[in-house]
Amino acid sequence: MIRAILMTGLIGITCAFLSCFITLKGWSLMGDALSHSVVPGVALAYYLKFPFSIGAFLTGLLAALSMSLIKVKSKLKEDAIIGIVFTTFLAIGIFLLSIFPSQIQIQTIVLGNVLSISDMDIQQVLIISSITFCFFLFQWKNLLVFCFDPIFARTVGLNTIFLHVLLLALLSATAVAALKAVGACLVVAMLITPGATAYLLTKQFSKMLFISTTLGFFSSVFGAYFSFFFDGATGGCIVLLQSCFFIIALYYSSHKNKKSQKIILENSNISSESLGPTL
Amino acid sequence: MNGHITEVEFYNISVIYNNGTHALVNASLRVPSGTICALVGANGSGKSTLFKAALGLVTPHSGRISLLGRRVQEALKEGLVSYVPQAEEIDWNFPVLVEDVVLMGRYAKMNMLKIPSTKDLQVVKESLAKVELQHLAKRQIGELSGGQKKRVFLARSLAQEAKIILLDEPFTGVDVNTELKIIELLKDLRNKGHIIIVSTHNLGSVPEFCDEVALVKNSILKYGKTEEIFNEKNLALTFGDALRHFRFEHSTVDNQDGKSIMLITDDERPLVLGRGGHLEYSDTKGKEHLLKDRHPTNEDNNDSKNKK
Amino acid sequence: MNISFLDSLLLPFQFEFMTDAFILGMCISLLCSLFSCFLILKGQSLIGDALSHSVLPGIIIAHALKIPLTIGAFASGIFSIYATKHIRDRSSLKDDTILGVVFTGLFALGLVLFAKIPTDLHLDHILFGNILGIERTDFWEALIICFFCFLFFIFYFRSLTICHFDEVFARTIGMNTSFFRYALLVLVALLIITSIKALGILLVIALLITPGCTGHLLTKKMGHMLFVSAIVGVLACLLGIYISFFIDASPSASIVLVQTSLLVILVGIGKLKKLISNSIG
Repeated sequence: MIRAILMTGLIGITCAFLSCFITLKGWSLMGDALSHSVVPGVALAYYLKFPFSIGAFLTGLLAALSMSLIKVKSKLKEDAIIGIVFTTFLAIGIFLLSIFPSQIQIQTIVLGNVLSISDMDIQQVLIISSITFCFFLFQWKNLLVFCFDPIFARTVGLNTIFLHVLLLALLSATAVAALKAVGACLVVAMLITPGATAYLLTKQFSKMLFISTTLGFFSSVFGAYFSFFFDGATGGCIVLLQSCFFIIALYYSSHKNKKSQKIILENSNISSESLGPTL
Repeated sequence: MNGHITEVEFYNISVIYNNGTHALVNASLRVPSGTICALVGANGSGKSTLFKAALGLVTPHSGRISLLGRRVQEALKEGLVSYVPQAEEIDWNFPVLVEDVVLMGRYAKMNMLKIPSTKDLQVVKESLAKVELQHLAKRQIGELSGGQKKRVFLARSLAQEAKIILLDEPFTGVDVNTELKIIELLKDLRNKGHIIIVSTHNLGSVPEFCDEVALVKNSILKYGKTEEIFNEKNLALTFGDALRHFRFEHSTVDNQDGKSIMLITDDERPLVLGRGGHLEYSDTKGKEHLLKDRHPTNEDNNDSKNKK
Repeated sequence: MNISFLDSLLLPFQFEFMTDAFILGMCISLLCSLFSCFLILKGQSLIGDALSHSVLPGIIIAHALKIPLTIGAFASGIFSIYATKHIRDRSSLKDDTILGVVFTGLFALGLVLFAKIPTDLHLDHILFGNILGIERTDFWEALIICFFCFLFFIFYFRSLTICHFDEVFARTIGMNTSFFRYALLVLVALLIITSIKALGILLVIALLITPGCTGHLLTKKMGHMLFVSAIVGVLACLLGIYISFFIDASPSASIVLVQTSLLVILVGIGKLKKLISNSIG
């Protein structure tokens, strides 16, 4: 059990790390879409008897790539494209599961349950997290530039297509890992809330990464622990904790902002005589 | 409600934005009916803010605005004011045809169900004809060029049949021919008694069609008849260092030697000549003839233009 | 041979629960398709996603307090809209981030409450709907709400078009754009809450996006867009429920798949037509 909790903590760190890049890039809802789009992959993997993670990863990536393709080819807005793709993928998953009987509990996929994490799951998560961290170690500066200003990135010679696909792949992989702990519906929270919270507290990216991952770890570990008392609503507990941190950060930062705004206004005394009209 | 007042008045308007910027401080301006008034000023000087105040889009901290004797909200409800924007914040993929956009100008006059009457459709047709876009009436708005889009919004404004017309930088991104057509339209409206306020930083065309000028620099520095206000000294006050001056001495211009000068300016105007502090305007065909008429003993030519 | 085939085609209509499902599905699909036209044009497509997750805690609390679920859901939904605005005013976070934080937070709260408070609510029904087992009162409640939404549309769709196309202009002709903006959101919230009981969260989200997109890709004029969107929405609903009856699949998933298929097919035909006329001309 302690291993399951620690694994959840590891997932929390990975997601929180990624979440800084995702919120910066404006891909918050892409995370939502991906987490729902992995469901048919899980279903197919079950029927065709290969590991869930691979199935989930493949459909997640497929969904992400279709979104990018449609965006280029049509006049639809990004959020509409995300909506169409993820509802369709999710519908495929539900459709398959409703026709072919399976032992997969739809609820577990959608809502997650730390109590149901097996050793194989832990292995898969470890592998995914290590691969993710490796990529980040080597590419994080490039990814940062790409997220902040993709046009500039292209002009300094970065391969934006590669970075785009890489980020999507990392996102899919992380979503798949998080699926085990919190389920499809709440993965998106782990990919948004820690980054958003950190963004409220600092504008320096390195500090943001640190705050975000720390919060991610603590909320995952304690959330998973508390979920034992709540009949396994793991995802719910973790995300609730993260939301609490967010609310605290919101009021703290808005209080800080109000104070500094007052100082600015007091210092900006423009005398109207210097700008008065002469008729 | 005083129906006899036929002018637009801004009195001591001050607007402060949320981040502390003083966009306008004690700005006052009066524009009578049958006038085209140019708002001249650098970017960020408060021209757009003045419009926004007149349209109820921002609330001034102090001062009052009187539009034909009414307050802003009353004037808007009565359909007295029309606004031709810079048209930057539109989603061009929106499913509306050109004629649909112009029809929107009639909405204030329609009933609650907004079903257009025959008169409404007639006015739409005429407005499109005035801007020479009838042949594009059934096109989706995004299919048009920049200049054509601007004309559509002008047509919408015409369809409103409003007494007061506010135009925000109508000539940016627009070719010379379209600009001339727009100017003709405005002159026509002016002759019918409308009040037209045009914000522009394209100084070259101002003396050609604007009766009055208001110099804007976070307030109204001066306003009045173009002949009196629009001169080098006042433009320097308004634009500060941004202005460029050219002076022609006797040695450059000698009306006996038949030499001709062509100035190529960056606002697509072939030549701007000035005589006695008074700015005049002509195209390349007329310049030689004007040059020969010049008396060398008069004041030097000044060519002032805005440089960004 | 023919007779029995026809009989089998008409089989669903012999069951009252099926005809009820068809009627309810059609009405909800129609309204959602109409609303979706405005939502997708304004970049508000995922409001269905957000609101349908946000209503969960309200539903559970209402159930625990024995008040009508619709009221609880509505309160929860309105709270989420308010929370989003509240956060937007106090921070420089992007809109989609704020939306994500709010609705996942509320959904998480709902899940935790669901785990702790004993209810006889089926989470399955909330997620995927229960159109074939809808209660009589819910059925009529949904139809009444659909009717009011429809009236709102008839009266105000032209005004809504102006407000969405050029809000600045709308304000300069004295239109109360705030009213239209918030009225639309409130009605969408009401529609979502009603629809969740019948169609479930997944389908409601899709209904508020896909039909509108289909209309947008096929038309140039708002009136046409609304029309195409409505037809596609209703047709997909009928076909989806119909198909799901015969292959015993989830009705809501079937409807979503038919919607997407229609989108792809119709747009594909449109592109093919253009390709042919381009190569000829």
